Amino acid sequence: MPFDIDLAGSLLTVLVGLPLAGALIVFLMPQSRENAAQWVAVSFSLAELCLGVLLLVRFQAYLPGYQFTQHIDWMPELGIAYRVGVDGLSVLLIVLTSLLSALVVIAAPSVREKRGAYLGCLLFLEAGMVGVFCALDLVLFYVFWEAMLIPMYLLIGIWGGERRVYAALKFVLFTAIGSLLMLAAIIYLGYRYEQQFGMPSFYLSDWSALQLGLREEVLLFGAFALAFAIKIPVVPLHSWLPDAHVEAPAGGSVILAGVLLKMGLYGLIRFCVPVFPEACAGAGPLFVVLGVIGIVFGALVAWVQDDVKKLVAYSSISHLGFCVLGFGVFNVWGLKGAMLQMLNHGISTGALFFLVGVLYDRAHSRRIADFGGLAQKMPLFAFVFLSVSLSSIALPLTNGFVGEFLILFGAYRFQPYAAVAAVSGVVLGAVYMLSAYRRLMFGDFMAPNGAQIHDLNRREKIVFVPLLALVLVIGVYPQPVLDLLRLPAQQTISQLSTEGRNPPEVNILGDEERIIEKGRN
Amino acid sequence: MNYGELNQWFLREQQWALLLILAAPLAGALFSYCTISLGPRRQMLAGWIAVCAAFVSFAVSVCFWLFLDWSAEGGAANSGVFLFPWIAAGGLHLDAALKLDSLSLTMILTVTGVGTLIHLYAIGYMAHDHSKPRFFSYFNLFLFFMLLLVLADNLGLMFVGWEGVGLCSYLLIGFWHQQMPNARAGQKAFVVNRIGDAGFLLGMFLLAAEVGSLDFDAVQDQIAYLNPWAIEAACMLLLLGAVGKSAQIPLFVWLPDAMAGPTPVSALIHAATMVTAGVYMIVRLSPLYNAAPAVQFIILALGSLTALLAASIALVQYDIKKVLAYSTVSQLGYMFMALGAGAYSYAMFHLVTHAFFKGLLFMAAGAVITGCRHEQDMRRFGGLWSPMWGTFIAYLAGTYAIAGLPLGSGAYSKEAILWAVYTAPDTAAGLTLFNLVSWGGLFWGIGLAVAFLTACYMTRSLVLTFFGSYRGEGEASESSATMLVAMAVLIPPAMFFGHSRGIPLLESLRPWARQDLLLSQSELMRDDLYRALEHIALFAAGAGVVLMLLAYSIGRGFMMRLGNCIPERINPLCCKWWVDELYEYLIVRPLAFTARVLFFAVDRKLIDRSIDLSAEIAGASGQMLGLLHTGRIGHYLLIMLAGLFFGAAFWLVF
Repeated sequence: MPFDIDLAGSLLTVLVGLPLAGALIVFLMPQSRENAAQWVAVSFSLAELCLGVLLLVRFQAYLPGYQFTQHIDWMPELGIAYRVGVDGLSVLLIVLTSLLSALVVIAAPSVREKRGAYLGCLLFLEAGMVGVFCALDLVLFYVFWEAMLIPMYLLIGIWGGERRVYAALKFVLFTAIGSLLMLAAIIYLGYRYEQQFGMPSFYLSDWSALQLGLREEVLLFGAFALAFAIKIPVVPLHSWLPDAHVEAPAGGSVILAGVLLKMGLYGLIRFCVPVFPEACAGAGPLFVVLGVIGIVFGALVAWVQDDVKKLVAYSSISHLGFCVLGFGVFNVWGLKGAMLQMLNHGISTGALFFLVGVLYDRAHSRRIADFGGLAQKMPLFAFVFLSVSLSSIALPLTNGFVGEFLILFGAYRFQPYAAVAAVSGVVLGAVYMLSAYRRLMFGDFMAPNGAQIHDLNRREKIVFVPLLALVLVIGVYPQPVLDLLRLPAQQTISQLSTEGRNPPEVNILGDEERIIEKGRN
Repeated sequence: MNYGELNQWFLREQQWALLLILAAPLAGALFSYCTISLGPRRQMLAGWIAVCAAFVSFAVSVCFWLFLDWSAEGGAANSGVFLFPWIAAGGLHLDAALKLDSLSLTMILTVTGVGTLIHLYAIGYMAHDHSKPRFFSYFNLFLFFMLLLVLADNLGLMFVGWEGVGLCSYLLIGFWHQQMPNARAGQKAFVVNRIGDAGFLLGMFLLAAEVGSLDFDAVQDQIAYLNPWAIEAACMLLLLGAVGKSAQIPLFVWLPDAMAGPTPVSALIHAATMVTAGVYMIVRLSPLYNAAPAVQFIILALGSLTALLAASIALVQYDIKKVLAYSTVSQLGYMFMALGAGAYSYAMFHLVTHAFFKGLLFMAAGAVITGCRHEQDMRRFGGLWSPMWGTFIAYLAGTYAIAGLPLGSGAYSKEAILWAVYTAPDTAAGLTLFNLVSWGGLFWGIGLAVAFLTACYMTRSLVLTFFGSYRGEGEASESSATMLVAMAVLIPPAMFFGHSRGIPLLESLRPWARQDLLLSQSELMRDDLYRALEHIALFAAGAGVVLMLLAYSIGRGFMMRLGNCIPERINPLCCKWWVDELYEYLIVRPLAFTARVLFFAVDRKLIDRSIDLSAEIAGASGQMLGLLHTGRIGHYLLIMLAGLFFGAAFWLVF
């Protein structure tokens, strides 16, 4: 196959390769040249961000199927190929990844030791994450998926807190158990494909044609779903998350919460739905129940945390519960809402972990009880914290509201009681977030001994400006983002409904929506 | 440009004018915050920017009132503007679109009019505060969200304003956040409101699912085709939102605590405007509520119980702002009674008059508080009429109006409501209480008792504050000019608004109001029942005033003994009927306990420990197996022989 080198064709490859190159350069630079490494990393990550934005701009939201696809044979005799491509959902997640990575790299100077290696890990991680979001070949996906683990393991294990080794090991073991099952399932599916079609293939679009027995399908789906559920994390499988977050450095937490947690749901939508539509449709109610449990459990447990980082970690579980709920209801509102909420959670929880990092930087403590009245000494910090908290508790005109509203409406359409149960998360979210905010920011000023309390510096301001802008822009005018998500959501539903589980109203309403919008324009 | 040309020009540009109403306070919020970079003296600019912004909104609202024809027969004028589609997904579309009709015009005139005055007042009140830019920025932001709430043309956008005013309320209650109680009060307000908002959300989902749209017009058109139970359920869920925002039973507990905020905040947000949003929402959806008789009955019952409960608590409060806060809850109860009786225009009427006189009362109370060095306890006031006679006149006028004395604005709106309640059809399946009294009669009786109590507690606060001798320390002094001017402007409307017995603008509500409601003065005056009820209500109010005047002049000793005969600790009035305690022990603590159990027992012990344990078992079994690998050939041979032996034995036996 000849190389087809045009911009559109290889943009995704450049997006994967650029941070990888950056990582190599940074790793090869001498330890002592930390500032130079910083500059290299910043320029690479900003270039990546620009390319991500370019991808977003050039992406045609109204065309179905994958765009910017590229296909290079890798191991032809095994049917394994380098196949990448994006749809609306992956574009958004890639932009989110490049944005958060750039911000983490910009904020890196707060890391005191081995900064060069830290930056290298971040860039390497970024390459893996972008790869996960654009891989269309299951083996390629698995390679990126596992490749991400290494830098994350190092980030937690080297630059983490006191129990970093325990947390890093726990994180890796949890993920590995799930992903080994997934690997087995991937190999088995490739084998089945060869049985049925005479040649092996690991290409996602080929696999939709697979004929699987029900028992087979459920087992394979279980293997995939377990890997993804651990990553999300769905409630009984979540216990790696608080430890990993608490021990990880601020930047690691941002990436972990902002991007890595999205991969579970992304995997479910991208791979499980087209390959196992029947099993997925059958498991919908299970996801709804698990989602609601996650919402309530995460919110209640977050409420009693004394460590602000743990609080944010459990709030992530609650928010991801909303995403799981939106996924499980399998209607256009729930799915759009879940996809949007993946993006929103990346923005708001990413920002929250940055904020916790700012606090830890100054006081070397994360205990809520150690602080008080910070709003007096750090007004800007308090303002940013408030805005992000409001986004997190889904106040209208912040991005969080749009996603939660759609998810809850989707849940209502699926089963009103699910919405009634999930809406308690709206109240509990306000309870834990505002009481944490009150204890940190209000009352008499208080900080641990030796804390250097000063307001946000210039570097930190640079980090928060784009995040706050996104919170507001997506909250006020979410339509462009929703437009990007329309086709992915509809595609997911049509994939599910081919198996006889057809919600006819969705298609009709979808048409009506277009007509209405045409009328307006 | 003469008047006609001006009129034409305004009609042409009315979409921009509508936008300006919203844009002015939003811009004001931004600009007044920007003054934070100026020196402390020049930060006073923030206040004037905010006042100007509020005034621009008010002026444009007045233009709408003057230039559009609101008296048109069969559907008055309205104006609207479509901005952009906000959320569109799968057939559900919420637009950022505004709509101005006679109902929203009434509301924005009240909000911007009273709002401008209270902004002006706040300049004086906050003169010595160090965070003026923050205060006025929040204050203007509140105005923006309130106007958005009122002007929204669909429930979704209304919810934006709804939550937005809640946010500003949270920020302003906890404005002096160095004191933890203030911050707690703000948080309580937000969380309690969120409980209501959860109901609001579910109500929206129900309507969106049944109607397919959240536009008010679309909802109204579809009512005939909806399931009766769906209407009742939607109304009930939305009512939960209204009950939270408008501080009715069972969610009223946040409003008294909200008095922790600066007094202008209490005047504007927690008396005149935001707390009436629930009433406004129900009036806006009145066609829907008319189709839900069971919910109407619940509203009537909740409103009257709230009015009575709050009025009884107001009777024993010593904090002047708390008296007014419970009074607000009680008056909101009146509005809910009107809603439950299907008298939506009377509810709006009382909403407007209440905004005037309660705004005035709060401003006067604030003037007293600043005049007495931030003292709020009425036991430390007394005899203030001479040092601050301007404030005294304002408070007197407000008291006169709210007490429902003849010719005061409160009398008109309250009597209209009482009449509507008395004549309310027996909504709940025609039930009568023991076949003696109709429900309407019962609720009218409660309303009458509340009228009596209102006169009592207001007279009590007036006497304790302004009459007798001064019991505080230091010298009490009159407030600054801006505060007095703001109060003076509000005195006439608070006293006399409503002589036409109703607002002509609200004629357009008639199609959905009860058909037997009388809207004009001549109609009302011809009604014998109305006149009889009016006299009874006036008598009750007068009796309350006279009783309290007597009690606090000649009966002072008796009052003291009365107060002492039940210890405060077990007096249901002083303990506010233990509602806060009820919530604390029934909801907050069990929930916190559950959260702790979930974290320590389920999350840490059960889930996490079992995972660690499985890792430890895996590790331990690895070590056990490792024990076999001793490295001695002899051991390995022994094991091999044992294996062979057992293998052979196994083979032989089976």
